[in-house]
Amino acid sequence: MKKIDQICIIDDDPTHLFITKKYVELSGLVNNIVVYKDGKEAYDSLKAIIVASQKLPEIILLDLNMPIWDGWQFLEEFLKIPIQAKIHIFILTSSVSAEDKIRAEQFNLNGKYLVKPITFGEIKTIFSEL
Amino acid sequence: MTYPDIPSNENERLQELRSYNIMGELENSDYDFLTKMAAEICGTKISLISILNEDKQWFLSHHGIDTKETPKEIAFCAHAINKPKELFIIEDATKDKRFFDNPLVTGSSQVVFYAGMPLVTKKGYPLGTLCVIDDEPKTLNKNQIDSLKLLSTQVMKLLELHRKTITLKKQNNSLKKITELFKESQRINHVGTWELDLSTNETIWTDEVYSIYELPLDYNHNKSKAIDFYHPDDRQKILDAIAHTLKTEQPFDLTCRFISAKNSHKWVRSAGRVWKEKNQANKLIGIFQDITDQKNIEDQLRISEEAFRGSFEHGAIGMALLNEKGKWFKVNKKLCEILGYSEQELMNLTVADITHPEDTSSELHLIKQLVQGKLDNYTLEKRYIHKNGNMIHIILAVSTVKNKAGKIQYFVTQIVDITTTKQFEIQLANTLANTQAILDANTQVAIIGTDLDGKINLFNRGAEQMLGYTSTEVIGKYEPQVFHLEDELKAFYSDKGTEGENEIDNDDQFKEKVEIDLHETNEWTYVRKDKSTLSVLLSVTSIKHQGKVTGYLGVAADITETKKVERETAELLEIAELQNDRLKNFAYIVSHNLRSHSGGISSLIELTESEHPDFGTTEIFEYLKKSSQNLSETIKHLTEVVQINLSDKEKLQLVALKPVIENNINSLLLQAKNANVTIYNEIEESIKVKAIPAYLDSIVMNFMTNAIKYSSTERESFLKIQAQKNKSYIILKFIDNGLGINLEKHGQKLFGMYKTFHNHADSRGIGLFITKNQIEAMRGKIEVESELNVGTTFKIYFEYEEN
Repeated sequence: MKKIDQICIIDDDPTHLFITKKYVELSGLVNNIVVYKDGKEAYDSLKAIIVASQKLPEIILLDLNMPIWDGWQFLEEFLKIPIQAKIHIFILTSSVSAEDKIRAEQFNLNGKYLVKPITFGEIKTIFSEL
Repeated sequence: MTYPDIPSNENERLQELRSYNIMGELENSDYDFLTKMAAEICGTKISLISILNEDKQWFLSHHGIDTKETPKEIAFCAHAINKPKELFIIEDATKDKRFFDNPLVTGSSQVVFYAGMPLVTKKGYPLGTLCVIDDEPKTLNKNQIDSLKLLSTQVMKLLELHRKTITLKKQNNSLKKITELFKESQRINHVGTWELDLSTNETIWTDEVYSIYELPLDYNHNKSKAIDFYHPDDRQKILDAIAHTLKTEQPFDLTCRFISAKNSHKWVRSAGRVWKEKNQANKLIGIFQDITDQKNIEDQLRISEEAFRGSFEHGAIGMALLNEKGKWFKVNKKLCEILGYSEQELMNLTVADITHPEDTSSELHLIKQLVQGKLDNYTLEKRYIHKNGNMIHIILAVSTVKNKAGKIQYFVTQIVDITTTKQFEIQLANTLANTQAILDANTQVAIIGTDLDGKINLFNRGAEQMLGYTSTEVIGKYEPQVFHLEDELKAFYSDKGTEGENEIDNDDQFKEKVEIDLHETNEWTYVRKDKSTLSVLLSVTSIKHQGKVTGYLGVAADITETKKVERETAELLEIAELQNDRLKNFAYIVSHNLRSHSGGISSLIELTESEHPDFGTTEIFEYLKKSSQNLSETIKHLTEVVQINLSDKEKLQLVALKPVIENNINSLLLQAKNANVTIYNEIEESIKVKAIPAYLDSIVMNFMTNAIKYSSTERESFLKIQAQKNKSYIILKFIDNGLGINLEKHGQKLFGMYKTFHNHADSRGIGLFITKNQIEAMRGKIEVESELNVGTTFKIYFEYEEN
């Protein structure tokens, strides 16, 4: 199985951040984990990386409910940036509302909507399928 | 002295005497000649013709004496007539016991000798005597007696002649009179008479004939000349008639055209017959009459009669001639049409038969007045009954035709069917009554009408109550703008910005407005008489009559209450919306934040378990783990519930029931088998319900799971799933023979949150609660029937769509 070089977790909740990080580490399939506390911080940082033509993460795990910029704002702005590399964005949220699921589909993220708490099995499945 | 006996037939005798009319007649030489002869023959000094009436004898002729009469009781003649056929002779009265003391004997007359022969009529009545008298006793010889009898016969002949002359005179007079009358009548009637001598063809005319011919009286005429004045076409006709009469002796009577000498065109009547006279040639006699006037009248009469018949037969109104008893005499087509009978059927009925029972007596007094001549005619409205039983309203006009004696020959009736008009009238009356009732009944709605000038002409009770004015106060006096706030009117018109701002102050603004904005409905503030105000919804329309606007009608409803309710509703809605928002927030907190936290906890416990296996086996950790699971579970259910209530109810779509059931059976196949439950899908292919597919799926799954879960181990378990259609719902039934529920005990709480009714390993109460909420979210309902240890039937009602 090919190892993933870098994964990005965007989440403001330290508990979940801890859990997600823990599972990712436990999977043993990822080399680096980058963490941003809100959508705005993530956008700015990732944009800087793009501008600097540095290496982008292969996977982004995005929480929706966050301060400053929420997950939707991030998506809207981030997807406007033209990039070559293929980035797999997953929504990782505690919201089970149909409204959010439909909205995710509008960003072409169907099948990429994960509900917290994520299980270790799920993490492993996602990574292995990539 | 002996008085003379009165003859037994004295009355008849006197009557006979009067017919001779001789009493008091002037002396006549014919009679005197006869008395003179009698005296000379008998050698007496005196001879008399004595006529006896009631009380005296009167001398028609007296020879040798001047006395004209004597009383009857001393008359010798009165004795003489008692033996009419015999000569009565007293030779010496002085020696006769009947006469010796008679004054005529004893007095200056010195009657001694008397011989009298009765004058007897053909009928045998003695009128008197021819007598001879002398003052010396005498005897008559046979010769003398015979002569005296002869002379008396002669007297009688003279008397007869006298009587005949009188009769003839009378007859002559009356004949004269008749002739005069005849002439006069000919003149008046334009009738003349003529004679035709058949041997000579000469003609004799009366004056009137000349007059008709318009010829002078000295005109020389004959048969052929007479014929020449007839109209050329009629000449042969009269000649033929004459020939026929001569041949058959049957009279003729003709009406011919005639052209007089003065070229007057006339109609004449000529009638004639054969006249036979003894020893003379036969004649034709006849009358000749100018009948031009009569003929003209006849023609006119015929024309007017034909005109009457025409208008009777083909009249646009019903007509009939009736006798006094109401029996038809003649009826026209239109009347038959009105009544629906054939002429024959109608002729067999009387007026009473076709008259509405309530109207039969309505015209009796009128008919009476007609009969009595107090009325010439009358007209009235009444009801007839059509052959088909329908009521017909008619106007009846009746007059009479009388004969010359003034007796009514027949009644002329004219009948106009006004049923349609009448129905219209009734309808109109009803409509008017209804309209009035509507106006009166509407106490909550003000109805105000105006004329074209804007003056109020209608103000109903509702308007009175609403505005505090009485209708008499405002009608014809005010215009509706007195009920409005000036500011509102101004604002209204400036908004409209219609024909110009200068109209705002125009008195006719209300009217102007209406003309521009017909059928407009707006909210206005009305000002009552007491200056208080109310909100109304006012609709203004124009009243049109035959396409022309004749006025305006405003209908105003008091909406003060409605406004208040509206405000309150808005306030409540606002509160509800706020609460809904809060609920949404709460739902969000539950679904997102709480889940997030509990998820964190459960993940952390999982991690702890894997990283610290020792701690994971402790009792305290077990409880922590269980609590965390319960928390997650609870949050999950709450989220579901909240989402049901917030979901959009309009997302219902038609879903076929059978496949949904089938899918669920398949996914529960294993569980069912394990629990030994047989599931029967008995739903018809065609049944579709209105549902949210996800909910329907969840509901079906829930009931199936329940049935499997709560099946009885004591018997062959089954679950039958059926569907049935009623007027408003499709009822989905889940029928099992499982453990059953004690409804008496748990019925109230069956669909409550967190209720379980079985001590079953997997029991959890959230299922029915969610199910119920989902069903209700789809505008359905749920019912349950159950008996412990027998089974349970759930009925779920879904809406469906009619074809």
